[in-house]
Amino acid sequence: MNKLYPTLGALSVGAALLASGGDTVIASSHREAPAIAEDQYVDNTDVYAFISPQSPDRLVMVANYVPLLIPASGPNYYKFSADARYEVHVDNDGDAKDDITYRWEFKDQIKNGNTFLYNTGVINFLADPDLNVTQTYDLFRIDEKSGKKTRILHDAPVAPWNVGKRSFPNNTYEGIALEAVKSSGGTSSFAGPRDEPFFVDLHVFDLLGVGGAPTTDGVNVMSLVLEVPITDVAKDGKRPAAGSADKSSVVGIHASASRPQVRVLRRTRDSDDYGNMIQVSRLGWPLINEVIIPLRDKDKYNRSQPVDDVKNFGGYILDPEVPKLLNLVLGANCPATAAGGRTDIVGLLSPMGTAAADLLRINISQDQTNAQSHFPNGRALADDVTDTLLTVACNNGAAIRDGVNANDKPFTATFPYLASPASGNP
Amino acid sequence: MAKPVLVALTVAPLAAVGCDSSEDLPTKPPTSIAQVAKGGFSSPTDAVASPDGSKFFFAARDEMLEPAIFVTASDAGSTPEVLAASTPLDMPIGLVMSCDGSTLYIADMGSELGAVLSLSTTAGSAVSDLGVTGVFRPGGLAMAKDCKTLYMTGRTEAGEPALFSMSVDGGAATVVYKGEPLVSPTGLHIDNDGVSWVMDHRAHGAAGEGVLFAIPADGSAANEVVSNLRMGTPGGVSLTAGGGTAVMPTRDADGNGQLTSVDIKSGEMTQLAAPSMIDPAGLRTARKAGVFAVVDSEGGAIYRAE
Repeated sequence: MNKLYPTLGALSVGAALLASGGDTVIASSHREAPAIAEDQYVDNTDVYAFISPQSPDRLVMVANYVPLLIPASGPNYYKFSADARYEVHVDNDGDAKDDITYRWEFKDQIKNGNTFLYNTGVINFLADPDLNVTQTYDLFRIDEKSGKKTRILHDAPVAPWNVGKRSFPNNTYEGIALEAVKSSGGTSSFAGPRDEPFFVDLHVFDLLGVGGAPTTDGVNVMSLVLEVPITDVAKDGKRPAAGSADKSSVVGIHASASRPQVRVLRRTRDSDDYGNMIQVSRLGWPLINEVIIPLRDKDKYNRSQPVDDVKNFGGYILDPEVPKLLNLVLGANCPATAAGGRTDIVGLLSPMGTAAADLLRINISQDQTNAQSHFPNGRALADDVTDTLLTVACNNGAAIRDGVNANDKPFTATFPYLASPASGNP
Repeated sequence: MAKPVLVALTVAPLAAVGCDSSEDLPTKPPTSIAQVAKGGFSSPTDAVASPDGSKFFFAARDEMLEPAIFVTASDAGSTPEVLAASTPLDMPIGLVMSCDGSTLYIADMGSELGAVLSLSTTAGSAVSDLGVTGVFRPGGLAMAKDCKTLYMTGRTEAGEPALFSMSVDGGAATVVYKGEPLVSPTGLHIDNDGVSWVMDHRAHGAAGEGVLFAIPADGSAANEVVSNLRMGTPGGVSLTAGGGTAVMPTRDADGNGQLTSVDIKSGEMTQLAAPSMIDPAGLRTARKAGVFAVVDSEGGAIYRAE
């Protein structure tokens, strides 16, 4: 367990060993705020970051969007929005401000507008002309301090939807989808549908009543996956020495999505966009906006920047609603919140003396390996963050378990690591 | 208080662009800013000053959320009045005043293709459609030195970002410049040498996103003047007399409102803090007075800078 997080680490182990003090679950950041629930394609659901299992010199960042996707969702299958801007931000000096930004901009293509079909025949390869509806993207890296913007990939393909066994016979889907893995300048990238890696029981929203139902099994999500040399995100391009206690030994990661400030809907043609890009969704840690921020400020959270989190939302973190609800509804026997509030959570959000903010921070020092990349030191795909965070939220009292302890599909050992998406017609 | 913050950030060689010789415009960048009007309207997009600076005209939504053009005295605590509202106004987003102050020209992004409209500044007048063709979703407007030619930012029929010119009497618009590096041009000022100064929200310059371009009269290039401007929607820009300084409403790195002035020759930037402004946007000078009209689109207020 990472020594940076002794309190939470101990609790995490405890949660795995102790009997349940009450079963409940919550979704990481799926449809978590009123405004973003009306704009599904830019709803940021989860962020993961871990040292690559294939190379300890590389960092993997996953930003998932578009929650709870039913596989049989044709004829217009889910995609990324071509009008939006998707970004992963990296703070590498501990001030909770962006230093490096990776940006995805998507374009739509339709080969044949005279059919309603997503694909007009069996798809044998990614560039198959029978794949009628496609997307491509440009990937940029922006050095926020110098303003330098570098295009890493141009017109890279998005993996197709897993339409079904007639379109992808003989289990050919995954091989074709992985043709969308592209690399340039040491950066590997994948964009497309994947199996939803977050495991939860969404029955929790029926008055916290849960029974361990794996309600996200069999649903998909749209994933952006990057694997980059750690030196690409480290301060001054230098990976900190092993054991470094400097602020720059951890990087803080969050993802966001933005839309143009003005959209003009037309009666006779496509809409027009105008003006600034305005952030409409963001996410660092799981569950912060989901259960810590109350309804009145959830949209504000999505519009705001991490550097302002303490100013804007510090009170909610110091005195969260969750333990009170757990006691009231489930009789979870969470201890009363200590006088002075949950400064321990604030501490977890500010390791190594970094500014407290909702950033997924991960130690990138030279002694770090994939085995150490577990929440809250980054977040591995298999981490049961619900158990961990509910136990913390219960004021470190009874271990709270959600009854859903793993994803329905195994993750892979190779890029892009997430499991193949569920088929629309298995 | 104006405060120099940066010198020669990314100033383009100015041999390619012009310098204004007008004696009408303000001669120096603003050093103070004060709220003129707030309430009775929302979401203002652009404001212009009468030639003597005594009145401000601005586009916003009225209390019924209908698109409207307002007029107000430019003194603090003034109460705006509706000059015109509703159809054919749909989404007015850019304004410019005729040289004699008798007519407002309005870039309206709404309807099906967008339109350029005109409105007498006399109360009770009706809005007219100039029937311009060849330009789509016009955003920024500016008046040329001849007082007969309008310049505007918008899109070509093919969707390319572009700078156009057209007669104040309407008709077909002419493309002055189109395509890269423009991405989403908005605010516009044209100096007496015919150089168009164009704000672009999404263009990415040497120092970051948000660029002020200078496009010579012959449309031969779009030269980056300064970048990393955090501008509101729509962007606004005006030059002081002599063309020496570009003044733009922006936000600082922490999101605080300000007016940014850039000395075109030296690149020196100064900031006039406007902390009460949430999203400072459209900005225009009076033709014969040292007054700038500025809107706070998100805060729903009109400001006077001088």
